[in-house]
Amino acid sequence: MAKMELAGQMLEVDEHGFMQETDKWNEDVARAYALKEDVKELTSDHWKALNYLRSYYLANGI
Amino acid sequence: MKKHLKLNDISKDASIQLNEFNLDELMPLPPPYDKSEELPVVKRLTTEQQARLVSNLDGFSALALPQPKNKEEESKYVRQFISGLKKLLSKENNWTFLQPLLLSLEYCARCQTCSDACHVYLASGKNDLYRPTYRAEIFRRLIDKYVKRGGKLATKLKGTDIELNWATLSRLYELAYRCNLCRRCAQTCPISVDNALITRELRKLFSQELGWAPKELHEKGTVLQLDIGSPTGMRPAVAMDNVKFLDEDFTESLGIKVETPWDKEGADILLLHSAGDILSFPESIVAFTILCNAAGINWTLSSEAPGYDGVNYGLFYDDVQLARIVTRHAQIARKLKVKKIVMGECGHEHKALITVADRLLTGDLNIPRQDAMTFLEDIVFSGKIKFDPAKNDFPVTLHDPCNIVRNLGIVEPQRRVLRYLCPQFREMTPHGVDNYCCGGGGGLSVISGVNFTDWKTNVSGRIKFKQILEAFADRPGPGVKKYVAVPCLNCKLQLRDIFKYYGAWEKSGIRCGGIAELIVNAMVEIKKPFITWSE
Amino acid sequence: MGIFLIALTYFTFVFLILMVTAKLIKIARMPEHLRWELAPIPHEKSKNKYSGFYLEGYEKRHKKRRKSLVAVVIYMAKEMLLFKGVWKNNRTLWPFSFSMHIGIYLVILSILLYIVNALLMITGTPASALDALESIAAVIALAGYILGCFGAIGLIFKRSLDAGLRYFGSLAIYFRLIFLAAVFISGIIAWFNVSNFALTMSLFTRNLLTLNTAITIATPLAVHLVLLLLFLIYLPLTDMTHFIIKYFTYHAVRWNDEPLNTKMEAGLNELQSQTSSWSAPHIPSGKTWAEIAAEKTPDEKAS
Repeated sequence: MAKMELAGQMLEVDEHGFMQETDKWNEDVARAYALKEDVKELTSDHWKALNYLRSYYLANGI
Repeated sequence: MKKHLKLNDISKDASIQLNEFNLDELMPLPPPYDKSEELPVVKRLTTEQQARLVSNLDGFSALALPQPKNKEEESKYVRQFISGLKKLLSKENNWTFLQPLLLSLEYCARCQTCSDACHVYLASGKNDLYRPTYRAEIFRRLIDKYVKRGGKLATKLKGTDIELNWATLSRLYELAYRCNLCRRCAQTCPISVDNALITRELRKLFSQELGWAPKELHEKGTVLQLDIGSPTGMRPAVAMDNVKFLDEDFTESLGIKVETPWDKEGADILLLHSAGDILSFPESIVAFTILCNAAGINWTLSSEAPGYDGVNYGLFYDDVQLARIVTRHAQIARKLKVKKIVMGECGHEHKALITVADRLLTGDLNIPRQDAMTFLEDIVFSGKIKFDPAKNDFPVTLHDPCNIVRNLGIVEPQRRVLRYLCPQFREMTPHGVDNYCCGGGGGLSVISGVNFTDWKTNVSGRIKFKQILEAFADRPGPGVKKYVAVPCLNCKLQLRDIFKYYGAWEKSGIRCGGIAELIVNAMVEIKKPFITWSE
Repeated sequence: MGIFLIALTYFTFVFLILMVTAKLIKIARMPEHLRWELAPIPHEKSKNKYSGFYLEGYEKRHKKRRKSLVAVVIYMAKEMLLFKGVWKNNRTLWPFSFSMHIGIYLVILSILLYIVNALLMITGTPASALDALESIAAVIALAGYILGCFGAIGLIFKRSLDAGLRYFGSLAIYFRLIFLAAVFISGIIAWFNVSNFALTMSLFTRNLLTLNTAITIATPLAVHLVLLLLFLIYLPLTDMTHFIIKYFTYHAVRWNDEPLNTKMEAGLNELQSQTSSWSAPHIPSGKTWAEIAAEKTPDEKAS
């Protein structure tokens, strides 16, 4: 399993960089991913979308 | 001059890549795709990945195989492989394909006629590694050496012995996934040896004995489907929710009632979509709903897992998973008391459930199954819906999915529909049962591996892309919007990857979609265009 | 010499027939397999035929499937006589493959003519009436030897010079081509050495059939006969038997689109009751195929 450093932790990711241990997510991890995509700051609109998608995923597995 | 590969190169030094990928060796594409500087850089494995994963074949990794920890682990896998070879040749463990396999193993004349029929071999610039016979002959010689009595001595005397070590094993595993199982090689063989069958048996050995298979086909494929209902990850409630959303959305935008029935007991037809369409090509799902309702058909979808997803990746690599999924599909149809199962626009679903499953579904599981092509043809020519072909007045060509056309021989019904409803329909060359694979067949379409998509867009999909460009050569350029009709989700996904990689929408105005959408686009009743030109 | 040749000939044909029959029985006895057909299927007679088959006419298909035997024969004839597949897809190989096989067919045809001739001799037909037959047989035999020679030797060179073929070769493949070439070359030598080749071969055949060991055979002809017979003994030990195994690769696999019927079902149920011993984690050990396939079924009574 590949590993990536995010927000000071070594997290397990797949070969495309997606997190595998979803319980280790926190807002710092989100910010670390954003930096990798050249997004320096997450706005409130960003957080709305992020939180909606996360809660849908946690409820439905997809 | 390109160097030729010897058969036992496969067993040499496991840490060295057997073949370097070189863009210049590939078959040339027509302009404006002939300048390699204008194309995306081919993704390579990072140093970290190269240290952690095996990549000793051709610079691509479809399977993300981890490096073994020590020599003991390597020997263990080799032992398992040999034990798997023996099972593959036994009646108890491989009755499903024993006769075809033994015939193909024993009677190859090594004439290489099949190589020139293989789109992967040709597109790669005739690279020996991708010959259908390269992996098949190695497989054959391994059986001769390690399974046949006195094999070790006999092969040494004949000069045909190949060592089965970690290098051979790990390379064969990847190489088994450089084939689309399209069976063009089987078609051209004068003796009818089937190299695609041998490749599938190789994959089956890895899966059923070592438990090795691409994550996208197994863990997140058949296993997930048997567990929650679909490899897409959609549970029944999510699938129903999504389709309901589509129904509402299109009812509003089209101005006609779009409503999909679920779990209607005693319906005439259970329609079995590839659930991936719900997420990736939702117009296909909506188109079927509109057509079935407009034609007054007594139909239903099923929300019982996996009755809303007709895919069966077991067809690509594993008989056990194949059998489990066809059994579930048939059981669900039986429970719903439908008269017939009709396939959606999904190629391998047709082959798995209509023909291959015919000898697995015995007794009352043997429910009639029908293909999507004759189903759509019957709707179009039933007289129940009025069409105006002028609404489809743009260049259209047809991609023939191998599993529907070459494997099941269903060729004309979809053509009658397209000739009627698409005034600018033109064929690719060659087409019909002589077609070329899209490059995503054999499950490769859903495998992204580490950097495998770049291999699919550059190598296995190359000839198909060339064919599409040539079919539209009379109307090139992005000004004229062009449609490739593709009655198979995996083919559509592969073509979408190809078009994205080459910028085909921006440079040539080409998009792909199913046949159902074209039919709905021609309906007189629907005033707004159903096909939207965006991709 | 006479006894030896006659005994060897009988032994060869008995051996050949027994070995080929054994191979055929072994293959025919293999279990029913899953459908794995491939279009175009020539026997399909449906009106919707493009290169398709009965599935295309799903709703309109006849209650009874109609299969065309003629179409199958025509297809096989094109393959076996013209080597259409090789012509289309492997053209540089075609001249040699075609000549070699046609050479073999012509030699077989000439042997059949000797047998006819011999039978006519036995029934007392006057020798003069058989002249025409002998001339034809002689020409066919020589043409066969020459074409076969060109083909076999051509293949030896093609396989060793063509890089695409070279690495797939093996000693076995070269050995049999050299052996076959030797048979054809010895045939040419014998043909020119014997004053009336077809007559001599017919007389030999007559003696074979009447078990008359009193014959004198010139050495070149004897060499040719021995080489030919030894080759026929070698043949069933190799995959050169593809000439007859093709019946199975085509009819039992590629064109096998027979839908499920009761007889097949009984056999399949029996096959599914065998135990699988595959080791992967997703396959339970010690269970039958039927049990494994049904394993992921939810308990229908509970739902």
